[in-house]
Amino acid sequence: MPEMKAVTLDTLLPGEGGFIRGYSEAKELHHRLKELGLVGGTMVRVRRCAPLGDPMELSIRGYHLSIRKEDARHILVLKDEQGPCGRGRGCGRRDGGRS
Amino acid sequence: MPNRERQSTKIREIVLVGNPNTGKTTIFNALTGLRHTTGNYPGVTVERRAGSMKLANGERVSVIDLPGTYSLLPRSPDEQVVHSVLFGTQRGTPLPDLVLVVLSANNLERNLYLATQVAELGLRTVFVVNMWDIAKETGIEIDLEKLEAMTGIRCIPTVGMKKEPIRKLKRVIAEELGRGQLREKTFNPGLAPEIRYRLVENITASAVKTVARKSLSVSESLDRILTHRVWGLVAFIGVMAFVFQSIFVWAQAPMKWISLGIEKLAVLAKEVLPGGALESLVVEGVIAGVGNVVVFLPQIMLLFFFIALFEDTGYMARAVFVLDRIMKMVGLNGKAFLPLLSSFACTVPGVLATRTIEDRNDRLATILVAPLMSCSARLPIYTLFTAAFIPPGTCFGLLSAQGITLLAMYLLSIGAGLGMAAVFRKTLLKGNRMPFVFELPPYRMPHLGNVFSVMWDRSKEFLVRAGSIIFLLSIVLWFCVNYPKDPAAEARFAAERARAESVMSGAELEERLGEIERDQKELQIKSSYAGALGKMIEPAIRPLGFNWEIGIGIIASFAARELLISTLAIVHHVQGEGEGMTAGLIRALQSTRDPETGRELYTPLVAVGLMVFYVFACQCFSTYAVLRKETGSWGWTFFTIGYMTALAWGAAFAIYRGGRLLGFQ
Repeated sequence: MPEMKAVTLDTLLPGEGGFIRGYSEAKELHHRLKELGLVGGTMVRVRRCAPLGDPMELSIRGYHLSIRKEDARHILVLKDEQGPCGRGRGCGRRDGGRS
Repeated sequence: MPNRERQSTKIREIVLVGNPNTGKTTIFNALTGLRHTTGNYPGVTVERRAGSMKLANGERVSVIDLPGTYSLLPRSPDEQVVHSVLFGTQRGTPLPDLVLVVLSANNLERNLYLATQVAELGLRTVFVVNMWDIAKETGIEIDLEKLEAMTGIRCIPTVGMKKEPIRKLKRVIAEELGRGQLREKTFNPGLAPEIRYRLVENITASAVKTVARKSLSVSESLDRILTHRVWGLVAFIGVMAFVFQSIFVWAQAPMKWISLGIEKLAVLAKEVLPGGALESLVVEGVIAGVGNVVVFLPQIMLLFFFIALFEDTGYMARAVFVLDRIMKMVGLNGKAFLPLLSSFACTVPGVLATRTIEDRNDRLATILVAPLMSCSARLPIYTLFTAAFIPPGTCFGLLSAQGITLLAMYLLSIGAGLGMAAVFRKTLLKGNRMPFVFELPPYRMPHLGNVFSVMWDRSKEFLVRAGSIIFLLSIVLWFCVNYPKDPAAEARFAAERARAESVMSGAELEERLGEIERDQKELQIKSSYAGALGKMIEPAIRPLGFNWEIGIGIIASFAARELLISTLAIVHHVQGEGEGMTAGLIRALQSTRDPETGRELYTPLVAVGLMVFYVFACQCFSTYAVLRKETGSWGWTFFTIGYMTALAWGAAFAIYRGGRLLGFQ
């Protein structure tokens, strides 16, 4: 078994991905995200970030979804081994550019 | 008797439901053959598209295209309508006899989330598995028999408008409508998304086989450019420059033809109609009023064409993706960009375009600032006053001072709009109810039939919305400008005309008659209700350096802002039509003096103040009407009018008083 650690979705670089473990807090706001398929156990991968670093484009359940980092911050992901594509370009700071 | 039987059976209803970007509207168009009507559901601003189709047995059924939705748990007005229709609680729309759920074969899992919800409602249901070709291309194989077995719902594959699958679908619709039995209702609204996705995964695990998951290579390479950190922005700016160029430059020719046509019509009406009040009402009220709206149609249609094109190809989602970060800085989201862009053509379509924004506070903030964007009715005013009062020299040897002034007006409107949005989002409209997420669908070749059909629907809505109000108001304005009549003055002008006719002839007579006509018009407007209103508001605008003559122009602007120009032309006794009038008006404005002080009335300072006043002021009844309709409240409508008026007055005051302090006249 490769080692897995839970990180928040907004910290992933383009090309990185993993399985969703859950949400860091229970909020009614997240219901829409879940309806779109971002539920526990789902495989998610970051495709790219917008030119100004936010939002990020995810690949999930066979389609592409744009999500803001401030929303992605609440989603916990068990990161898999696959590293960032290329030189990890596109997403700006690794802390996800919180403000 | 067959006739009676016909009457006793009501027209049966089919509704189309599905996620956004599934090609639902394409299927609707294919079934109804582009013949449809659009309107609104009662009490909400959700668009209702309805058409009809003929089944093989000759029966006509009605087809309704419901708004795209991801779930049956309603969170936005759009989704509320879908919910109400499917539960039979929507006023004016009976419970459907058949539900067609349109799914994208390319993305079955998420589509089945909604589809299984709908299937559980127990209504007669068919799954239309669309985009069958794209799924194949990307290496997805769907076992339809398995899918039918696991969901208990008939599944029909389709490829957009392609004829053969649509024919098959029509046959299945007829069969399903013939079935009597309804299924049991098992829908549980409390079921957690996690559980439903497990159910859906169970279905897809056995019915969907991913042979080789290939991404669409064309779509992928387009995305690499259009969302690239440098090229993405460059492409976006290029696309927007093209849209602006077409709206503000290429649309000018057809706009000119339309205004020429309207002038011709006015001349014709003058010949046909007997003189007097009726002629005046038709020519100056009705024809001029309708003309004021119709002349903007080329711009509006072009704008709607581009919007529909961007939506149909999938570029719209990329533009939102690229821009969201910038719009976030002022508390809006990427979807606010399009309404604000549209508002540069006209506020009415701009406010209507905010319907795509799901979050209430985001949407409201966008609506409140949309009227600040400099609409094309303001452009003639900037052009006139710039030409009259800004010297033609150049700044920094590069840009003309006039060009800079014009640009400054636009930047001012953008700056004020974004600034006010930030203020509203920090004070009155704090926080979000929904996370800002949206799908980035694969790029598609646009279907021109769809694009034109959407363009036409929206243009029609604009004509009806803005047209009816401006039309009514033009008549009111006509009355205010032409009444009360002063019989003594009328008699005096008639006598003068008779005298001129008795002593002069030919060109001299023509000229003299024209002069008398202008004298009369000037006296008329000054002694009319509009003149009285202008005098009434004079104390309020005096601190801005405006007198009551400008006041009349401001009053007239409420029907359409560009009427300021023709009103000033009457007040200042300018002859000629079209470009001749503009040149004459510029001369008149430059030489007009204030009768009380003897100083020049329109100084460059007053002109700049007036332009800035027009940037901010919310003088447009069509805007009031669309604000009322889209915010659903008079409170927000009056709030918008109020804050914009305050802004306009304050800015014009600051410019006039500040300029005076700095020594300008």
